Amino acid sequence: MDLILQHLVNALALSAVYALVAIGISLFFGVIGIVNLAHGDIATLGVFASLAVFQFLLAGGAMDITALSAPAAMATLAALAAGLVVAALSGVVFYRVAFFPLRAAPPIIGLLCSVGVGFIIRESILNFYPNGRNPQPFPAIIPPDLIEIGGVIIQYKHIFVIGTAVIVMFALAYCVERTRFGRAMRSILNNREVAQSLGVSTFKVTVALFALGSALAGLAGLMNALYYNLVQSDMGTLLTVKGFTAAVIGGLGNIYGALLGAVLVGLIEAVTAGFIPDGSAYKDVAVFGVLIAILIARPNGLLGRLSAERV
Amino acid sequence: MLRAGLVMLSILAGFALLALFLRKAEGMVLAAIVAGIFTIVALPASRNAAWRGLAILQAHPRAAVAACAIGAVLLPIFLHNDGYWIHVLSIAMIFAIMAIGLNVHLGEIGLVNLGYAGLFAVGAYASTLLSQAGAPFWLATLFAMTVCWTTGGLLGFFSVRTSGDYFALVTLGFGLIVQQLIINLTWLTQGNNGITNIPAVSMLGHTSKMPIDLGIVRLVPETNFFYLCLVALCGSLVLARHYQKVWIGRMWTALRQDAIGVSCFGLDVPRFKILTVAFGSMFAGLAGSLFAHEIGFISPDDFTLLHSVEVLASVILGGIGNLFGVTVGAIILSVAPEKLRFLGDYRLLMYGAMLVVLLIYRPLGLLPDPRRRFESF
Repeated sequence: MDLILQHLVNALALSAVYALVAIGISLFFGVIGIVNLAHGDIATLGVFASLAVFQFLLAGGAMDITALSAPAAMATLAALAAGLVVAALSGVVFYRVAFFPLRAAPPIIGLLCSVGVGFIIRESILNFYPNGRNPQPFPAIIPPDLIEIGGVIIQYKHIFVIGTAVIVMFALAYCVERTRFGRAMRSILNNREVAQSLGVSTFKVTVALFALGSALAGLAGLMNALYYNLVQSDMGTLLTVKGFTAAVIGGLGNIYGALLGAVLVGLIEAVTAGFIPDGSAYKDVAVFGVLIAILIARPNGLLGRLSAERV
Repeated sequence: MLRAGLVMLSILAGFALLALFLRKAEGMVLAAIVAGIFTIVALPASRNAAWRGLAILQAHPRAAVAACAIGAVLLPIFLHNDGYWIHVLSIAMIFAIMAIGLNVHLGEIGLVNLGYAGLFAVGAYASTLLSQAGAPFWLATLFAMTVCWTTGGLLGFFSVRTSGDYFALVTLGFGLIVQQLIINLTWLTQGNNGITNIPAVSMLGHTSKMPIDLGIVRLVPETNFFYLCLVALCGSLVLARHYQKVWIGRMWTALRQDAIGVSCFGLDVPRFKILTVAFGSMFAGLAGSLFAHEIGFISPDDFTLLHSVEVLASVILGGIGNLFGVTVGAIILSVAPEKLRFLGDYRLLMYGAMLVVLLIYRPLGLLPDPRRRFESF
């Protein structure tokens, strides 16, 4: 029983990271109809921006980043904010440069273009970031303490990752359901032409969405970095693949679906790794096996709309 | 007649220039040539000149095809018997075979396959295992093609109900699963260490390790595989072209345009799609078998997502649906990394940048299929 709960906690921490990536992929697909395979790489870019700020501020070695002091808190906030801002900006630039010119082309072209952008980001970090070829330690801001509840060990970083994700989810749900931006976005998801004819600026909404979605990806990357305390230039590929899987399981274009999908992916991974002997080698096989099974039963994902034009 | 002769001569001259380019162009000269080609391709104003040239070729298709065949056969001599470049071009042709197969998925019925390298791996391992058990090359290749046909059929069976981007994800998953299985099923595949000592191909007492002695010239051993790949590539092209011309090709076009429409005319759409996916996957078996025997060593690193993307990129850059364009695209994309070696560490960066720039300026590829101008996606 304890073991099951322990795996559950680990799974939820994974799910939290995947969910933030999946939401971006899902919404981008809903609004521009393109699967963005560079989403995880945008996250990597944010993480490395954050790391650069950390390395700059801690260069002298005078500051203890884990101490509870005002300068340390300021430094941490500055670094994390830098990560989010860089991710959001790069998302917008990326949309304007690579996706916007291709809006009339078939979606597969956009997908391939995003692969190219992913290459550019990964290789730029590899080549231009100091010592970018090797995995880099990410400052351990969260104290390594843990609490034990009835035999289940919960680390502070579990609480941080899951808590952040939950707060962000609620904020996002509010944003999508209650604000003017959210309404505009949903109207585009529903019917692009009608939304445009009613005066919704698809360009502005899409740019805002890319800023938001990319910032979420940056957050996911930062959470991943804080969880493992290790970052490398190709960490984005894994995030993209898992996020994409979660988004499809839940149904592309639906944020609650993305959330559900992410929880499922995290659970399947943790269960396979935890309960099947020698299972961690096969966890991706299990994830994609379940994915294929779900798609056979529900071809549009768990919460996806059943659309008539897809035959 | 005179014009046909001129077409043939200019194509042969093109092959000779290609060989010269491969062997000699380096550093700044190469960068200048690539930049020049880029300008021609990217600038809409200069399109006309390039297009007029192509139109003349299209007016004499038989002469053009014959000249291409002669040029390809003579290429090892144009290359001055340089084993390295002959080898690179063999690999390029193997990629072209894969691109032709993927074109069946992507070009003909519009299914995005992100796991083609998985099928390639299945073909390579199937062929290698049978070959190591003592089977001759042709039997191993046929076996690999059958296995890939079946795998593709199964993949289609599990995923044609999902279409478009969902098929992309299922195949992405398939590619990753195949790679993980290769790594983990060590008793069969020897895991990350890979399989070495794949036997050489031998035919009528001549093995692929021997040079070809023609009396006047003595061609390096790499030429064996060059010609083998050339034959396989021509066979693939003829087969794929044939399928495009007969009723199956008309059905593909109709299915792309209006799936509900063709199903009303009595086509069993899911069954037809499954068979099409299986047909397209068969080429991966051929390519995999050739690749395994050509390199003599296979490991999971040869079949990553990156390789799937590379095949996808060659189909899209060459021009979806146009077999000639797809072949050219695959050859360009597999030769480009070799020629970009002078960039050192920035090679993949430039590769990504080239991909993005070309896609933005030519979203329908270098040589778009003329028929598709009238189709809506």
